[in-house]
Amino acid sequence: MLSIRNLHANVAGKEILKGINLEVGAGEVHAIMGPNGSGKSSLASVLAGREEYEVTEGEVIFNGKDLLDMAPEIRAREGVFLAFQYPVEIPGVSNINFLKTAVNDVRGHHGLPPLTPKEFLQLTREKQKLVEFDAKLVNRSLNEGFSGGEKKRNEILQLAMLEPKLSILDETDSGLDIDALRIVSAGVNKLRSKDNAFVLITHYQRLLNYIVPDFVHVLWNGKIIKTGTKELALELEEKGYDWLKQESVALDN
Amino acid sequence: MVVSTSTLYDQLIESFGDVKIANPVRAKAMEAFRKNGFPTIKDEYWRFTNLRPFLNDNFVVVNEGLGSLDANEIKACIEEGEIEDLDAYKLVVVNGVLSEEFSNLPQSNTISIRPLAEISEDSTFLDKINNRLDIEKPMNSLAALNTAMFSDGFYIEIAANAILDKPIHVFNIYGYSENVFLQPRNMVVVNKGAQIEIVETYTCAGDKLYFINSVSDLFVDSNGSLTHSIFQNGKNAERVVNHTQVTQQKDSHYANYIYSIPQSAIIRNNLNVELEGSNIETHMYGLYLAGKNQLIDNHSLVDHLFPHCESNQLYKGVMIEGGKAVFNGRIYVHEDAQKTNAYQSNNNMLFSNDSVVHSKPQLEIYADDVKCSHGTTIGQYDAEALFYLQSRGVSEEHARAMLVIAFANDVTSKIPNEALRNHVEEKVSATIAQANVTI
Amino acid sequence: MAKSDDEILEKLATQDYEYGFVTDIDMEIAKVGLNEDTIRFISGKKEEPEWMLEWRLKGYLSYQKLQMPTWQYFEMPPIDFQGISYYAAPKTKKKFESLDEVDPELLATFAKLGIPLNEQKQLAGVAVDAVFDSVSVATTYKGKLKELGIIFCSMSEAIREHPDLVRKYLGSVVPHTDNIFSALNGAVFSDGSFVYIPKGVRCPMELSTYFRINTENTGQFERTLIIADEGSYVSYLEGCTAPQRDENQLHAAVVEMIALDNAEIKYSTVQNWYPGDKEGKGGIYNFVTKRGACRGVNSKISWTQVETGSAITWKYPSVILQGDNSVGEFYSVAVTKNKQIADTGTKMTHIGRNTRSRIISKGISAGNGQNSYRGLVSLGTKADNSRNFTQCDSLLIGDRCGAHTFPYIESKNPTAKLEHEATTSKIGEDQIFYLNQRGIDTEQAVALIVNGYAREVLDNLPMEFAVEAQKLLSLTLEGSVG
Repeated sequence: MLSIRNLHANVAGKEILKGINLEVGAGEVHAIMGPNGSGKSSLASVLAGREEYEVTEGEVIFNGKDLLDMAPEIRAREGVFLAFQYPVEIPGVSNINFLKTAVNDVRGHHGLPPLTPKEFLQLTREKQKLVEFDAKLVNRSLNEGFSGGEKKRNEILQLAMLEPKLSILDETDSGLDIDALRIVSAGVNKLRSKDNAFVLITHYQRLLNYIVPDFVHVLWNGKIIKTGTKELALELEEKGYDWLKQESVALDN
Repeated sequence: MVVSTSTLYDQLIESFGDVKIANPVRAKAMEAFRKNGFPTIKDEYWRFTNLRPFLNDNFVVVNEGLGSLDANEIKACIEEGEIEDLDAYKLVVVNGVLSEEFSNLPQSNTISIRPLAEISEDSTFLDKINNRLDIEKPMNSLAALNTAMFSDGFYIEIAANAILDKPIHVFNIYGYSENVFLQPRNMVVVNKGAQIEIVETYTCAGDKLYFINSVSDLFVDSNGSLTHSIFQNGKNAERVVNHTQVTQQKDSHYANYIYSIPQSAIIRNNLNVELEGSNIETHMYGLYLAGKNQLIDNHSLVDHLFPHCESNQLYKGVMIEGGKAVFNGRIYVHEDAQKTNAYQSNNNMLFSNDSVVHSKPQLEIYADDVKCSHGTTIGQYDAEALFYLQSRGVSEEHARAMLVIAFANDVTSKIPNEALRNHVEEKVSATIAQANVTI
Repeated sequence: MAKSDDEILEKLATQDYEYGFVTDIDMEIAKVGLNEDTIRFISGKKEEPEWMLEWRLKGYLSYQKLQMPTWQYFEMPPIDFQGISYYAAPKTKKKFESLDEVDPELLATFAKLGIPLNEQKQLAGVAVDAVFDSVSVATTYKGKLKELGIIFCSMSEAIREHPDLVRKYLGSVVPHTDNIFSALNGAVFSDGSFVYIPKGVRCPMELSTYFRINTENTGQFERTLIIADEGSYVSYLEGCTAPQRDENQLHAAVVEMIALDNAEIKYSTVQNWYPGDKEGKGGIYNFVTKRGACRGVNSKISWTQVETGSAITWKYPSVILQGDNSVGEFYSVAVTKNKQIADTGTKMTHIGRNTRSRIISKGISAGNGQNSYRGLVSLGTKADNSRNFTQCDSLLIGDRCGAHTFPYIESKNPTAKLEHEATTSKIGEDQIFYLNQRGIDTEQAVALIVNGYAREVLDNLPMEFAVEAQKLLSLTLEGSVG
């Protein structure tokens, strides 16, 4: 589904991704771990098409198409979803209006007719139930005045509504208490299927207790320095990242 | 249109000497005044401040330096202007002329303090002031008049990278035996990387009428810092129009603190700040406590010409016993001044049926990537707070005064100089405590 | 992002004006120029009584004495008052007994504008008065309204049929001497709408006037008078369009409203006059005086305006709060793009006790547009315990436009309270990116954000109008951000 080959990227003239290689297949869950500043969130931003990031080398192929060539909204319509670490507040824009626009735009991209208001409401209700997010969305502005947990759950609701093929969860676990973490994870688990894939970007192993990954990658200094299975995450929890850093430096030399 | 009903106008035109006409800058300024006359309420920037009643008396137009104050009278005036515990150099200016005798000036070759008259006919000097202040504009016609006619004032220049260890306290002292129309002119030049603090007070002796039309030109070069405080607590016989023209270069810092309390009949402060570089910081804090028969008018303009500058204006007013006030704050952001942060806030409390406040916070913005805001409030203290204080045993009367003082102190507390701050707060509190601040 | 700013701004600038067509219809047009004879001609054409002619002549006298204002924040274009024709009317029967008698070409024009005059096809609950150039063409739902005692007719008809009401209230809120344009309007106004809601009646439907300037080289000077008698309620809507022409055309209307004890008037405008082309050529000068008087206790007047058209929009729908406990409201969205100029805002004059006013103004500037908010809030000596809240925000789209704020705030009352806030911002790139990431393209993202920004105002429009206004906002700003 997703092939990242030798991806290099700069932000403000500074190289931040230094040759990422990653293959994600349908039905898989990948976790990308690494210390602060290793490039995890940058990778997510590059995949979603944030303007400040300049790709200097390499390619990203998504379902046979060049992802890097697409505008952010096209990437989204093609099925790339980024759950933001810090969802922005947009005053005055109602959640429901926003969701409707997004859903119908994605549908339009795939040649599907827009949902009728009734269908849309039904879908929203169904998905809200699925992700256990019962906030009243009609009268509230997008993320405005939402608690940290509410914002993250709203992200998962959007994920459920838009049914992307590839979901990238950028530190979705940060700032969540155990209950919120459980709800968010349960939502993601319900949405997993053989047709979609998830990339979890996280700092901590604890999210992986709830969402069990097929692969775990360690990102350090802009590169994936180790790949393993869920056991690797446990090892990292126990030993930290330092032993890997040393290995990596040794390799480079 | 010229309003010349006041004989003062004719007198001013006549008293403009031949020598000065020879100077093109002064001649141009006089022509501007001749054309525009005294500002009238038809001018947008004078619409709430009618100067006419203050110009109708018979005034003698005097050149600086004349006057009649003996040493004892001067000493008394200095004492009146004294700020307790303020550790500062003293610059005493009597009737516009620097008095070495009474001053206590810093002894350093990095700072030059001298009478403006020594350099005022210098063409570079006149060009310098002429380039900044738009004297052709009708709103600035009094500043134009000053440019045409001033004869003296003080000049302070601090050398590059010098830091003056103590503030300079400027005692502006006036004493005449007849009603006078005065036009002092002052200049402060802060060179690159230099730092200086100036505190100004005004004292007028006797009971004659004083119309003071003063202009100050301040230049703050790159990385320089000027902290400028003015305390206005003149007598009812004083009428003040004060124009301060500030020019800042990149990375500089200018802070203006202006506190006006009763009883001067009229105070009009024009404060124009031009930001001629990037990364400039400008702070303007004002408190106007307008009392009986008093009109206090603050007009400010911050002109953002370059990107990445920050300006901040906070003006608060308390109107008691029929006092009137005007606030007009302007933020102008030019097309190139992206990433400007400009804030302006004006808060007012009214305590008299005869009091009036006019507030006009203005934004003129031609750049999109900016953060600009203004806010104005007119109101009273919070009833809940009043109740809270009372429930802790404070009498209603005291509680009221406390809340009004708290409101005013929000601005006075911004004064970094502790002695000055205590002095101003004391005067403000005393005035409020004596006033009726019941709604 | 998908498109560069330049491309998108270019697209914005070339966005077509949808209503720019001209109707080819036989018109009777007054001779160009303004003098006493012009006024006598208009008055004669309309078969007006003598008092009306006198009233007009007084207006002309004021017009001659008044000067053009100089305080506005734009360069006043030269207006040749002698180069305008002050009367243009479709050359058919003077009075229409029913819609069947109206020129089908005219009906087609209104249909094209989405203003069906045919009662059967009409949206339920909106009665329409259509003004074409200078004259009222048709008023719908008259019969139904008559049953309730509501008068909704053209101004000309009101002068003939309800002279007492007209004489009592006309010019009582906006006198001739108010400004040069109101004086001019008083002298030459050709038609407009008249509304009277009797005591205790709640008007069951929205009353709507649709203004259309068609003929070249004419000005439109309509006069609207709305009177809400004690305890009554009415909601009034106004829409406007004009053909695309290279010359500027003057629209100098006057709207006066009077709310008596416990009455409420809600006035909504969606102004979409031709704005001129991207070079700033052509377009309407929309110089309108709108003012309401809350004469009675507990009365309320509310203005809502969405201003997207006109080369220059210059108006301050205002409320005089005379009655104790009366309420004034002003909700405004003003959009300027290309070389459009708006200098708009409101005046809230608090005279009575416990009066309250609320001002929400949202300015949006794009392209080379200049948008100024100018407002006056005055709390008078007798306005004990009165309150005002003002929020005026500016949104800048692109770096060639301007947003300006000139609030005049004055208080003479120690018990009154006022709060004014203003902010200036641009559309956040992070906001657009967030919406892009959810599959919404930049243009639509801007539309969403702008509609969100304007929501507080749009929410105050009646339903049918709100939808139209929302569409209009999105269309107007299509592609304005990269």
